Amino acid sequence: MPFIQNTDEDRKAMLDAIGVASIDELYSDIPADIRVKEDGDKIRLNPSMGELEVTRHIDALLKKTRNANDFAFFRGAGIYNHHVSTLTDHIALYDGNFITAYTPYQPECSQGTLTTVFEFQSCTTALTGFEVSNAGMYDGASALAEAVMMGYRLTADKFRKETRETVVLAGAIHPEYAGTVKTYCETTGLKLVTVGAGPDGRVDADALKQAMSREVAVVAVQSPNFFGVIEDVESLVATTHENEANIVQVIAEPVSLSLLQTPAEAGVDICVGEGQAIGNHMFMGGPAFGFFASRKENVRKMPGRIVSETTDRDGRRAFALALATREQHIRREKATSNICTNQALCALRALIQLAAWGKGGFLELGKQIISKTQYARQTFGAIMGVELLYAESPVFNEFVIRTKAGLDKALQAQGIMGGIPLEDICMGEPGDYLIAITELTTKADIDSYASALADLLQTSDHGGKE
Amino acid sequence: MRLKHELRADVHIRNTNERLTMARPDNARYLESHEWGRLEDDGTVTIGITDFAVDQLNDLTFVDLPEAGDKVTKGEAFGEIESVKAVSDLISMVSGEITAVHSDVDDDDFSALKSDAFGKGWLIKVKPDNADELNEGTKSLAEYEKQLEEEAH
Amino acid sequence: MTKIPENPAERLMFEISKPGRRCVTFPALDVPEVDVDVALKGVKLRSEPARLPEIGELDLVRHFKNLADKNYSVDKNFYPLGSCTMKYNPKINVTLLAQPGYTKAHPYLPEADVQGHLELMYNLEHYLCEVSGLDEVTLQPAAGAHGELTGVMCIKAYFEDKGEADQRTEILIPSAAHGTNPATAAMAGFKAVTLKEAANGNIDIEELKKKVGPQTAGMMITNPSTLGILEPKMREIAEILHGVGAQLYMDGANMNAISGIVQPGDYGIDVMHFNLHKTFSVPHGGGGPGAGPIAVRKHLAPYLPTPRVKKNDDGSFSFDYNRPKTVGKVRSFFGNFGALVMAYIYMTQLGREGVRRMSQNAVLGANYIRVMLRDYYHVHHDRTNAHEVVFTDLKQDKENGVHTLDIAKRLIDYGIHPMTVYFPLPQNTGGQGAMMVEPTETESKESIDYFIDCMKKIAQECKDNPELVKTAPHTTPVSKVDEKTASTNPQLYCAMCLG
Repeated sequence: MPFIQNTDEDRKAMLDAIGVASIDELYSDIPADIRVKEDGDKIRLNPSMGELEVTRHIDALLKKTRNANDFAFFRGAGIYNHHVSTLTDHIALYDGNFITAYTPYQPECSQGTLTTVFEFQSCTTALTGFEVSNAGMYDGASALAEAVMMGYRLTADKFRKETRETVVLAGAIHPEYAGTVKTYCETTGLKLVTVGAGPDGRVDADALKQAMSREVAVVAVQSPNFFGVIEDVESLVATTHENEANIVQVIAEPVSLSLLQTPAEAGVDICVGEGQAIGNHMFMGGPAFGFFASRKENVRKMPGRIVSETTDRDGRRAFALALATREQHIRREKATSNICTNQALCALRALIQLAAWGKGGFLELGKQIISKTQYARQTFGAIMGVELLYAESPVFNEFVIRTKAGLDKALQAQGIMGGIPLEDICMGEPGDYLIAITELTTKADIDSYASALADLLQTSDHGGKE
Repeated sequence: MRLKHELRADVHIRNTNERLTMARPDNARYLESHEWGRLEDDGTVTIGITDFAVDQLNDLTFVDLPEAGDKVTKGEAFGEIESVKAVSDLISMVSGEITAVHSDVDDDDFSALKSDAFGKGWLIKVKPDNADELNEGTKSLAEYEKQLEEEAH
Repeated sequence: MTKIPENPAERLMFEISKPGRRCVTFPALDVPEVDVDVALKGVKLRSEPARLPEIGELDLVRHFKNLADKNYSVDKNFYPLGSCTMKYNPKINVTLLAQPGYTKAHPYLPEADVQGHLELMYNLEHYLCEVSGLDEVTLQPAAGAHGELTGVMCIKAYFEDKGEADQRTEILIPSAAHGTNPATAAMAGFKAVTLKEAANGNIDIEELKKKVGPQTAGMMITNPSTLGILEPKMREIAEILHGVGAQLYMDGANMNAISGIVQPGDYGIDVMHFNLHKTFSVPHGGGGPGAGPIAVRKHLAPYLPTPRVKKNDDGSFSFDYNRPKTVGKVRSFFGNFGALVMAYIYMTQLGREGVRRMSQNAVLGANYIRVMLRDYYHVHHDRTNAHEVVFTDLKQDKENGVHTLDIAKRLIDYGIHPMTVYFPLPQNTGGQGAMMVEPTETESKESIDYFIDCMKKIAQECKDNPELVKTAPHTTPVSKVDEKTASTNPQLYCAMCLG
């Protein structure tokens, strides 16, 4: 039987030691009439497969798929086709001492994992400017939901005599994130208000001011936002803080932190985001991880695992889980979150990738992306029949074009996976496409997409066939 | 505090007779959950936790106390005290308004609490709505010490 | 602050950083380089580049290799961590996953391009339906606790639909339950009501009858329980709950004991989660990622998160977003898809027969350990157990003043990862520190026997030389770690990272 090493002889010896005749006797607490029979009567699973058969089966499934490597690829929206260093896979996937370890509850035999979490927190600090961060959340969406809960707790605790239970989602927030926040708010009974984007693609500042009241506990904003536009975070912070509420910034493309002002400098209270872009494969959107950072004074309200530097009995540097009384295994129903298993290995991948890029590489990465994005924006903007949306607003790696709808299939037939049709995810009009650029996007990719699109537009303008 | 609900990892419970027992006041009332409360001459009730509780919690790390002016309710938590791997509610013996809070009780690694749990280690003072509540459902010193003996088997 | 170690291989990555070093280089820019200040005119930029380390490739590899070697792991050590199911993680899981078909699959690809992925998810849902005996599955929750939250949200939505949400405010939870259960109930806006177990560790039916009522939304039960024993009265418990219109949630953390042996749906549960990283071999990864799918009975299916995977009449697959009663989204996209692929590969290899053998061998190993060590350590419930067994330090505490944590740390010296300690909490184990041992089916008898021998030796050491045990471990890269300072004076980042 796969992966079971013991033989019938081993089993017999163990049964004899226990003093029972069969393993079945060990299940006597389960009423016989509902036990599955020895032939597995009612469980309809396939017969056991060996290594060769399962490989063949997976190959067959993969034949029914295409991926980013099969196209000039322009899709992003929170999951980006970055280069993942071979070092990342070698260390995180193939060194069994990271991937087959458990949560580091026993510090003496988990210093490897604990040290990497500390280094990961340090990198999060370097990127966001915040003094405290955790070992990671499930993803960007749930990290935002948890940050909103934390922002609510911070405000509610500070103004105990007021009822401050409103959450404001401001501007173009990723629909998957906004949806998750909505679910969490509904289940916990918080009121959710949304403030839309203005004509420049940024948060409608006047609408936000109008939405503010003493009932608002927390404001959430994405920057760069879902349309790729960089928000004026400082002014949103000012509006929120005037109202003595907390503000959360969520980031879907953490590589933007190579260039942009840190959330701490901008004055936000909590910064979270989707970490996939750093060292994690796309995997249909998961697993990656959510990062979570805030100011030092908020540490006791943070969800998730946190590692601190300390010493061992002999005065040597050591690392240990810290402030565990926040967590569910101790505080139970009063915990800051129910999170237990997180996405540690994905955070380790990010750490390896950041180290592999290094300070200089990370900066160069950001600069390459912005150059390529500017080139792409100009190239598409020059096509007859293509309009750049929010053309006057600054972007980092993504932007929206408006053109004729329904050309996707024709582009794909030419090996081009163009931008995401926003109509499909209820974030725009027919013909709006969100185009994402990474360091893997070449000039040739951009040129071929642009010229194919221009050709298709021209042909369709003349009423001709494709 | 609910010591029965403790996660005692790392808390090496010391043998009861090894412990330095400090004199427990017999003019105070006690809760099964190891808080004490004493009616002062000025009519306020001072509340703290017993030396036994301090000893059991061992590695104290953090205390979360309310603010003066806040209301407390008899039988309900007014704050929390934490050790490395445990957190316990602090339960009030009376309802009323908090008049004073010992906000720096955690100074110097909780030395006031450790050296003088019934004096310098007090936690809050409450102006009770009804001072008689202090005697309702609470224990005398003798009853409390009997409980401790029973808990030690 | 401790001083920086002399050996570069022992330092933090920031301490081996040197300006100008790096691993990854990029191709020359193939478009005109823009001036960032011009391209981002009016945008506030970082005041300085992020202070990431600068390291060459060999030093980077050596840094992580040295750290990896400081971990105990399933690949290297027997890891009998109760409740965590630290079974072998087959290498083929990772190898098959690390193909571009998976690594380069984007969630916003057209459905036509991800048919093989949808088919895999559809098949995995089917497997989990079969193992649970329930009707429908969502693969979205990222971990067990996330599955719990999703399941409890579905229960809440169900009662909202029936107009009973205001009335049903309580969730019953056995006192020995994992902390995620009460934390989840609270997060979903319910009051967590604790149920005391009967003296034999099972659910106290009389206590349950007393606490259940029209205010009860449901009960979260773990079977086998967190005390490692099977609950014989599951059907009766389900009937009591259903009698007042409440729902029965099963925490599937311990499915490694009963998969293929009994379908929990047959004893009346309405919703349960799986921990694919426990039962179905997704590697634990030092704390994740896992996957926590939930299975539900038909009446709860309308509330599952969107999207669902659907098989069309023509045999193709698609995502179904049109679900008006759904609780909504609980995370982005479709779940921890990469983890699902690994679980699927494992389940496919096990097949019907293998799933059953898995549970049987897990239960056999745990009972064998109980019997072999019962004369040396107090067994909390010395009766037939499931896939794990709970000992306590009663004997060693009373006789030698040695405690659970000491024994756990001493195991490290023998090259074995400690068992789970102090869970269930002392209040559930007679005031003594629990030691919960779960060997899993993938361990050989020789490894289990070595563990048994080590535990016997430690029991003897507790008598002969208690100090040796109390000061353990003696062989690790660090000695006993000061966890108090980590909490009273936390240092959460390397000072070299922040200006």
